[in-house]
Amino acid sequence: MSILKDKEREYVKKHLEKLTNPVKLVLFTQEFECQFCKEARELCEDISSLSGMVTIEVYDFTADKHKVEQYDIKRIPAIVIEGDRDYGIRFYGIPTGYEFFTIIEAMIDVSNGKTGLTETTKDRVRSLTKPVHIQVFVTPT
Amino acid sequence: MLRADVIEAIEFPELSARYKVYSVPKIVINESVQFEGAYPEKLFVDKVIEAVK
Repeated sequence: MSILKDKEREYVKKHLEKLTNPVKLVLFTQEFECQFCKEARELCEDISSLSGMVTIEVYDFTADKHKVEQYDIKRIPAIVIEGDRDYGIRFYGIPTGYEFFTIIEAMIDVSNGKTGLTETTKDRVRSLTKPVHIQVFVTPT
Repeated sequence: MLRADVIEAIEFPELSARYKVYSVPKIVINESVQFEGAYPEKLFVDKVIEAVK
């Protein structure tokens, strides 16, 4: 089943053409999937079907303890956007509505290894010496 | 050094209650700094740095 509508698929396909390096969507769900877990998996499958640069790995939140620890996953559904390394980007819940574009943008940044941030911002962030955990709460508007 | 989570507030009501999410976007940095709304880049980084001071 496809979560994305035809128009969205077109949008995604067009934007994923900007990917220059492989991107991995690491999805955490569980054997008996909750409604949101199921939708998150279908969304990941949809996205990866639209670009040869995108692969998916699916792990079980209960059974795959090693991976849960490795990625420090706190709840499900969770999607890690990973490029040549783990950049620390996680989406908890289904990224729909506006957030759907956020996930695509994140994939493009991770793939290309660059962001639209200013040099000043990059320098300031590079100079951080303590761990920073940013949590952004959103709703599907 | 940096972890960024996007959290669907409605799907995780306990977490949203814990951080008193009444409007979105709501940003929480290291438990110590919280703010609502879309901040310009410079101000956002100010908040990140404030959180680790």
